[in-house]
Amino acid sequence: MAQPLRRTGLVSILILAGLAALASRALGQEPAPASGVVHHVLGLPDIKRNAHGKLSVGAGALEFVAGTSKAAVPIAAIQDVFTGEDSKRMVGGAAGTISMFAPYGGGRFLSLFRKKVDVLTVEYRDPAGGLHGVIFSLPPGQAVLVKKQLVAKGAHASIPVEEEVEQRKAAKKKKGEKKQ
Amino acid sequence: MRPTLCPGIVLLLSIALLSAGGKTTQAQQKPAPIKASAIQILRAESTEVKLPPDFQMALYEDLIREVVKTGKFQHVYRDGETAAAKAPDLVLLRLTLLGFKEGSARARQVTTVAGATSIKVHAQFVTRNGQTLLERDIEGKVRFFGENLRATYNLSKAVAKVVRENF
Repeated sequence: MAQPLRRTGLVSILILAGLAALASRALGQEPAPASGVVHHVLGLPDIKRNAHGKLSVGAGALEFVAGTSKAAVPIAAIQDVFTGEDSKRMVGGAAGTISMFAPYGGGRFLSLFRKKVDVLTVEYRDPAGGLHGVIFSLPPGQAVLVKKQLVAKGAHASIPVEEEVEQRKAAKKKKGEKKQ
Repeated sequence: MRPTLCPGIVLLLSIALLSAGGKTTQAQQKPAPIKASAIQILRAESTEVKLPPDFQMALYEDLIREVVKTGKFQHVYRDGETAAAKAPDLVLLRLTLLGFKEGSARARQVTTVAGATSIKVHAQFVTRNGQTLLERDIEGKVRFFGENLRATYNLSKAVAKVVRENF
């Protein structure tokens, strides 16, 4: 009799703990990170260019952590957020550069393999009034999610998320028509 | 026996003299450097030609970085920085976009000749009162290696070269 009671007690504790975790996330106490590795292209003062790390939208700031370096952009200081699409080489960095000199066009062949990435551009003003621009490269589909989170928390965006997605679709369609 | 000069030596001497003469005239023509202790870099204006936001911000950030690297100014202010109002001899750098062509990194790497990305701007160095001190049309391109955003870096390097030569 005592064993089933203990088991149900344990299960209920686990359920309660799960609910508490979900509630804290929903309340925005814990920053929700963008899934996948995010590249800092440029713009954050204390982070090296092309550093990769985790990007998350906290209660009051957009946070980026790359190893021991950390940077935060206050959401209230954000003036505009833009999303875009780009592509980058599958074999990048030093290996990618060396591959360019591979014989029989091996490097060119490798250049054919590219992966799609999302681009997130954030414009903000520092306390002295100076304009800053930060660019991140994210896995596909992530930039829109981050922008939605930022806008929900009060960041200003001149173009709404949906409109931006529509604009991109229209531009793609136009490009496709031109090619034909 | 009269000593004769080899025609080759005569030709070399005349070329050397001519080039030296050219250098001196160039040095004479070179204007005096513009004196300014501070510069404020404004974001590029793109009214007729549209520049994607990532290119716009990359250009702005690269410009600040490259102008700082020149070491010609004690202060390099960002667009909107309030402290710039107190700088005694401030120069403003205004860029107006003249042209933009977004190429393709894939086409560049595969064909070498196609897919170049280029940005062309009209750069103006003006005083606070609006007097133009220097203006140039400058272009930044990516022809062979690198992603499209490298065009903004190349353009910023070209602007920094103009700064080095004139300040």
